[in-house]
Amino acid sequence: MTSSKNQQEMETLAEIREINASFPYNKYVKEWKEGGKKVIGWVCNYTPEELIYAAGLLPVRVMGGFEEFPLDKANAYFYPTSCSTMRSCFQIALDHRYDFLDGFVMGSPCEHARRFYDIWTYWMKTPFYYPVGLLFIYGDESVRHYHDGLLDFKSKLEEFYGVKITDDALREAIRLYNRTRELLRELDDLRKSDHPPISGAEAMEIMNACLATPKEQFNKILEKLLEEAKSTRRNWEDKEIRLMFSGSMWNNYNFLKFIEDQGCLIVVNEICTGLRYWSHLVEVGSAPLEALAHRYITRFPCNHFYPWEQRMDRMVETAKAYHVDGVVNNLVRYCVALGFMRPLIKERFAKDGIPCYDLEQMYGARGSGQVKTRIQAFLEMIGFSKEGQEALFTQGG
Amino acid sequence: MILEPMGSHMENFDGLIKTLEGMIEHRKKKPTVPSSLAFYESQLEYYKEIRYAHDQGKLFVLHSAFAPAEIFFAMGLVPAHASFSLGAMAQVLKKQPECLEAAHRYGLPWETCGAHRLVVGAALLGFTPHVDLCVSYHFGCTSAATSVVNVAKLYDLPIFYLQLPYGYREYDIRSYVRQLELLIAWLEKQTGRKMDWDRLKEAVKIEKQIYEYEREIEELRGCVPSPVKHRSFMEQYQTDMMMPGTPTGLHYYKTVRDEVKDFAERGIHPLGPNHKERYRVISCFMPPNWCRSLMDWMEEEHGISSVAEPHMNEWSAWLADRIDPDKPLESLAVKYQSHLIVRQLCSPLLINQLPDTLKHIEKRKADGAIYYASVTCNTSPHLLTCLKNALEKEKVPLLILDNDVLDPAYASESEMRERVDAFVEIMDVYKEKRATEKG
Repeated sequence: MTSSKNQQEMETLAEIREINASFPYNKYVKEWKEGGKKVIGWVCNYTPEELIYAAGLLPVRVMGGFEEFPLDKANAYFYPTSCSTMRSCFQIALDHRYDFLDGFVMGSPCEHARRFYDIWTYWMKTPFYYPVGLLFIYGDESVRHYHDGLLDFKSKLEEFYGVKITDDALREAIRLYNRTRELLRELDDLRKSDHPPISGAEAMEIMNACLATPKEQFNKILEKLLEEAKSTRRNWEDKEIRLMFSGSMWNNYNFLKFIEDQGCLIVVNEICTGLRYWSHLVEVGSAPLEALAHRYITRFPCNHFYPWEQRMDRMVETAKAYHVDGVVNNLVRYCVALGFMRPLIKERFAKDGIPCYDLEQMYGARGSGQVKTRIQAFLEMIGFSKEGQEALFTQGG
Repeated sequence: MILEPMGSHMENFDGLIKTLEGMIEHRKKKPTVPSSLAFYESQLEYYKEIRYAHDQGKLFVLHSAFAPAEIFFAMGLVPAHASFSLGAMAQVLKKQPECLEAAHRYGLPWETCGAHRLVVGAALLGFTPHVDLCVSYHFGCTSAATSVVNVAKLYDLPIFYLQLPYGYREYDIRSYVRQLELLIAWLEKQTGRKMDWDRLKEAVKIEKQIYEYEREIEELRGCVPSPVKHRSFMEQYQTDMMMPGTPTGLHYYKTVRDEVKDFAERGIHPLGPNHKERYRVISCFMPPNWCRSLMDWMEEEHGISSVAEPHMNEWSAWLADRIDPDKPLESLAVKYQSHLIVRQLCSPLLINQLPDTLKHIEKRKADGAIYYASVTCNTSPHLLTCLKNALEKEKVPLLILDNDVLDPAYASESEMRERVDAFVEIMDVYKEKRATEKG
């Protein structure tokens, strides 16, 4: 739960928390299953959810825990330097909490996620598996290749589940998912203001629920949330510093709250379970698969995409659009893509005078004394810098 | 940031050449197998090409592992495999600590692969001649691709990014062919030279011959005792990556084939008629590059032969129909997609890695398997529990040898030897168990 003095939390958040409390088998997923329908777990934002949905299946993101917990069972199946996010996901699977899944789809450029797919397919009894292939290079060839992959994936879904995915069903799915993205964007736009209606931690809670809930129901919750947000004016008087939270996949909102409790407000979650999920709409045109291919390859990219400038430029644009004072770049152990890109990201932000702070931790960590000290030092540094700028301004410099 | 001009420390590159010359002299004085000398001579030739590329008016291309070097050779460019040039230099000259320290100060965290961090570190310290072009290649290993991107960014070098799509599907091959066309167009633009298609076809023709030698070698590896020296697979792997489609590569492979055929026909081990082969193991992934003596020790001390390396060298049988000099790009695409280590990294476990490993157990009469788990590798060690389980079902024990492929600081040779000593006892127990079950 997020709380801070002088804050007025939105009531709709209670619904979000109810969904998250029963993650991953929340009441909406349960209803879906009770209706005799199938659920597909997916890994990574490059999985085309619309295609799965158009087959009459419910796509839900396979995520790790929203809080810190021991990974003792999962550790037995992974190497010590395997990605801690994937270990967390598998821990939940080993606890039989993903047993409701009827299929497992991985659409990731990350080798850890690919190995997770392998481990899942070897040890789990999920009936349907599919690895979505993709090139992570900006350009026509990647769009064309992804489109070929969509055709293949479509035929595999149709064959396995005995369904026909029509263009009309695809367009309908695209409209539904576009609506979710629009609502999330509208909500996030409010975070650009001086008085954002939600904190970074709350935004993460909303996204966690979003990724695990059928969009028909979730869009209704989002509409309600948005209405309430528009009429909410939160007072963040003890949080003058505005931060962007960036980096590897992350779901532990308590950690964001932990950062915010040090005296700042996270105003944009530039991660795959944040802004990168909803950025860019799919064009609803005559060729839905082509439109999907175009959207998935050309939207706000993750750390794997080349050229890196595509990502770094958008990171800086985002930081400016949300008026941030600094960036926390959170590397989840053992994320190699971010590891190799990190020096250049830091340099890129420095060019625009935006301080960027590198953190490394195990996925799901809730915060430690050491991290607290590091964040406090970073905030102090930003604070000094801001004071210096104000002094210059008041002196007419 | 410590950024020294490229080529500012050519004494290191010269040191590498001198070391290799010394090794060749040593081999000549104390010969082992003919392929060993051929290997070092080909290495020397390769590094000298890089060292003197600019003197000969040639352009120098730094590339990630498994980039199609045939294309560079065909265009008259001098390719340098990033890990086997910059990384190898740090290793041969024992300058890993300096290079890793430089990479750390630059900002690369421990999460990044040590072998490729070393590449960036050596580049930061100016160990290589000035690079003209970079070709980064993602074949399922982010570190191999992004370390070269970092080098290009640091020195503001032109770079092309090539990628093998994940999966093992025909449309992936078609995409790779189109990317090769883009690569050639880019190289032509950067160098002002045209692709010499006849030369490329000739390279593919050589590759086809290498493929045939390689298949012959693989066929002979079921012989008891093994007609192949334990460490030989590392030399084959390195040659295959560094000089594909070249007469030098072909000569090396022919030497290996002749040698293996000779030992197989005579029914003796390369260490001589008195050598006793006691254990036959499957080697999974890459042994520490700095410690090939471990393989010699295993062979001499315990009579352990490596009889299969399902993640390193073996070429797919079905390539015979797909390598066609008249279709050079298609041939290169299928060759690189089906290369063992590439397909293990770039396709699902159940499609390739598992069957590729298990198929050798009976055919090669394996007593055990050794899994070289390089601690900072983001690709290879993560499936070892699956493999261990699958091998266990076949009653084959697996030793997981944790190491760092290029940094001896993580696990020393003596530590690894101790673990091998213990594993030998385990293999004995399994041997007895299998014999009892057979009745």
